[in-house]
Amino acid sequence: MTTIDGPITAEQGSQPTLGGMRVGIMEAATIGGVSKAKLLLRPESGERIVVITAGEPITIEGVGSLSLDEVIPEVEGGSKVRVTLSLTTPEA
Amino acid sequence: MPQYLGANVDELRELGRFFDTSGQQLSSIGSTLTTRIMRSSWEGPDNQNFVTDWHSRLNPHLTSSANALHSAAQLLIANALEQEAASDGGGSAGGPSDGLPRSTNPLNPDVGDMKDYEPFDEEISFDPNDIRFYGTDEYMRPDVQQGQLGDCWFLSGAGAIALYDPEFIEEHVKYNGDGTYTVTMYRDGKPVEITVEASAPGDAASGMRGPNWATVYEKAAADYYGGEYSDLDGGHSDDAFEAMTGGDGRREGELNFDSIKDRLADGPVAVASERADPFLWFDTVDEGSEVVGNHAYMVGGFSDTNPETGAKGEHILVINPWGIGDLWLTEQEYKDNFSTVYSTEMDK
Repeated sequence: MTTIDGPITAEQGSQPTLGGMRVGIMEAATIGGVSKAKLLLRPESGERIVVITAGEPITIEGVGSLSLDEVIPEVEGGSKVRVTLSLTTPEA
Repeated sequence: MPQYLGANVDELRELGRFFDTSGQQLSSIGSTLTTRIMRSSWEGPDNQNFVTDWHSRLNPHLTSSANALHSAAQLLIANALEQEAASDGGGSAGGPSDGLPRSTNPLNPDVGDMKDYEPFDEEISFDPNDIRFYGTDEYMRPDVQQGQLGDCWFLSGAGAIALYDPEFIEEHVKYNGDGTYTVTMYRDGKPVEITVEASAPGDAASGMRGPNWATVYEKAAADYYGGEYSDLDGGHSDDAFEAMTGGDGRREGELNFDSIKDRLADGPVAVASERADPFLWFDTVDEGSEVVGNHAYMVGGFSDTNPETGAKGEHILVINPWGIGDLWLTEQEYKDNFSTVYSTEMDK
């Protein structure tokens, strides 16, 4: 497993790029100790909305394995909820 | 022993931001407490006395303290800027031309957590047809793609202006012929010129074909709002309207379609969505709504039918600054998801 890009931390509502793929961060939350994020992915193979869970990477064809490393809660009156994402080569 | 006068500018600026954030938190606590008190099931004269005391004495103390923190924050940041200006010997090329203190490196705002600067082709087109282009057969959208920053508020404001009057963008961004651009923004209604180099962090805003007018404007805005790209994280589009046009920005709550049309007749309009409830998608892995929560969109116009589905009935077009995810919504769908309208009046 080799890191292709990241880790990168970005706010909900932003659209960072990982491995050349735009990733729109639609929502993110930690509920009951489980962290999830709803993302709009824009790989060359076509855009799609996914819900990713921390510790359960998803493979994106032609791009790599996308992981949700962390969901950082929003600070009331300060920053929005943030997520840390990273992209690695898929495990064999 | 030599006497040291002055300050570490970065520390002073950071302290100012911390004061400002603390003020916001205090305001937020006041709002939360007010909401909790009003929702309380406590009834009777003791409750009425408490509520009266809260509104007349306790909450004003919180508001006053929050305001004091904001004022202190402004003082700290002003001192930081003054210190920078003194260290620079009065400033360097590229800073604001209105006599305001300049940042230490006004051509290249601090990238913070973003990827490093990369030079881009200096010959960006500012042709209105490139600024505002056909995204589909049905409507025009501004060529904007938000990047890593949480600056949907600024890009939606800029994009709404580009939709309303693309020549405004062309007139306010000038290529200097030496690898730099000068962007005219406004502070308190007065023009401020900001010069930036033809380079941008790897994950800055761009257009469909790479860096474009939005990249240059975002970079200038980073300088305008404090000198770091992260200064653009979070905000409201009425502030973007004021900074970009010098006019008065307007921020209103939920409006109906007729009112939004009135605003759109006089100038650019942006709207902000409500924070979605994560419980609705969290356990079911439901993709749910395609509206991005707590996010600013441009208003692109109205149609008697949904051009994408053919559904009858009036629809509003909200354009996502991501460059994707534009939506046609009925008035009810719009009201279910959006709670704030930003506008300003502009002459074409």
